[in-house]
Amino acid sequence: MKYEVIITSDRTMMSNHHGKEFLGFIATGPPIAMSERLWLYLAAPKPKVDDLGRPVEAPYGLRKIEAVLVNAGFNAAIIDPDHLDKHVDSAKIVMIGHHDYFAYGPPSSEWWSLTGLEPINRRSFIRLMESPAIRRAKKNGAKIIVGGPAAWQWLYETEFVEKWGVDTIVEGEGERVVVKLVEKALRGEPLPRYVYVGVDNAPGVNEIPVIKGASVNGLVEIMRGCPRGCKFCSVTLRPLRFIPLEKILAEVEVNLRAGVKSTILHSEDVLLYYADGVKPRPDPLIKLHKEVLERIGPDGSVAWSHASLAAIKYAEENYRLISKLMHEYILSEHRKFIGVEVGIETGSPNLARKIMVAKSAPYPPEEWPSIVEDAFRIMHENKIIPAATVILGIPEETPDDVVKTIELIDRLKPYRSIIVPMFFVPMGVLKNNNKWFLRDQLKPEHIEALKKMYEHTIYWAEDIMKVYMDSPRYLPVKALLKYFLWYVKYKVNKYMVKLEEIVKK
Amino acid sequence: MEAGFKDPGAAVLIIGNPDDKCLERLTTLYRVYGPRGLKLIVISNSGVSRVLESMRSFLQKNTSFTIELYVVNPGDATRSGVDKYTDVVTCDQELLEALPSNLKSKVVAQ
Ligand code: SF4
Repeated sequence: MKYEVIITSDRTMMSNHHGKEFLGFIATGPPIAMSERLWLYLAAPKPKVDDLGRPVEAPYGLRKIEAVLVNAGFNAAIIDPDHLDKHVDSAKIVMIGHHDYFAYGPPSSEWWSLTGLEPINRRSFIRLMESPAIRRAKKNGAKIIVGGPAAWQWLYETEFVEKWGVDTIVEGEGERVVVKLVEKALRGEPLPRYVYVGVDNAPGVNEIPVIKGASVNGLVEIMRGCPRGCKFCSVTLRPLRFIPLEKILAEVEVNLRAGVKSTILHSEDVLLYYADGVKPRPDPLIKLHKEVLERIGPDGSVAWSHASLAAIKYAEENYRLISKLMHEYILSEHRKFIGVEVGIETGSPNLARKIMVAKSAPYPPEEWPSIVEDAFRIMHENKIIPAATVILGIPEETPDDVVKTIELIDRLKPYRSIIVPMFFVPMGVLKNNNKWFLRDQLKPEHIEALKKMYEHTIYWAEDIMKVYMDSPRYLPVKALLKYFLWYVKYKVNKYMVKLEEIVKK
Repeated sequence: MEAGFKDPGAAVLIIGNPDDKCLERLTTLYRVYGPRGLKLIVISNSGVSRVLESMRSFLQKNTSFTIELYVVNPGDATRSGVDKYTDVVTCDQELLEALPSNLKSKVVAQ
């Protein structure tokens, strides 16, 4: 089989992360306490592939591009990076997607800044681009088109654009534009070096295709865009669209047919599926869960990619919806909890009002800290384990804002969760302010906040690991993680002292 | 029904690598023509990397409209595929003088 378009990414993306999406985040850091090989094994083991090197599970964004191209009549497929050599002599176009090409996104940039060591995802991507297969494709005249959520990073690495012969950088939603680009490339017409896909070219729901092959850990998109408008977020720049239930179920079936029995319901805020503005509605959410869970059965795992804390509070306090979804639909003998990413970002109502005024909606930003606390309590009581983010170094942040964040983290101690600090990265409407937050800008209050988050996460980590990886097949991964945690505990105190010295200077 | 990609409705020719002054003018044009979608054709002999570098702040300010950016060598300038430019921004007078006469006359006629 010869493909005219091959779609790929590096190993940190092309992996199912042992079936545990969260382990993929390990690739955002540099290898610490173990070799790069072991680190990569932990974060991104090689996936199962067929004879042609097509992975059974592939990143969802790449699956969408593949589906659009196949539907448009092109001979396109996703190929694992280790199997590119089978196809580079016939491919006319190599398409590459990534969440964090050069480790400039959060949290990679933060680990990089704190440790001074290049994160694995960046190393792995550079290795892919310098691999004999990609070089051969280029030598044969193939066009290289790059895109995905991290496409903006190429504007900071323009020398690589030239060195690797990247023909086009696509920023924004790809469904419409890729067809045009592939047509142009196959006709031998000049390609734009850079395309920003504006709102007028965002695909309508009918143009978003059903994936053709399984996605990593069964991720399926249930809506696109987010109405909350946080200033530091690029998702919110896109129009809001709900994916109809039939399409969602069709994708669950695609995953099941490929043997992927888990489902991650993906949205920037799962509870806003067919919501009334920012107020969750029980009916569409119950229907969604009922239908999906009927298909995956009692032993398939399920997760929510993201949910907002305000929606969790609202849904529970008004409809007892969180308890209902968890106890009547989700929890089973095999599903003892679910994981979700949530954004705290700050504990300061003042800063919340400045940078994320609608994140607390329908409640006012003044109530933000208590919304966070209430939502954490609700999740804890209902066996939802959040991985929460806090942003340090937001341009308008004051020392008092950070102190408020520290106090909030203290109050979250009783709730099973992990809290991950993120250094501010200019994105969303703040993307042009260029005020990256780096180690040199750390103040004493930031160090204190980092300590608090570290202590909180370490406090809960072993407990979470027990429920997160309760099957014997996770023993090797668990052993590595335990070793890693031990090492971090051993090193971190010394490191904090070093950071304090840097701050004093 | 598939709507397909809407091509940008305005085309701006940029002669030379844009400096701050050129970017200011480009920003004005963006405000006027941006909603139609912008095709930017930069004629430059300094390489893609330099052009992207100097356009970065401009490109990053855009969070709404479709922008296509082409970078062409002066020798290929006539093959940009655009018949009529909505506007022209000259950042390098010498490069303008060196353009093929048919393109130069088009530019001067703007
Ligand atoms: S709630 Fe989350 S996805 Fe929505 S705008 Fe804010 S940060 Fe972005």
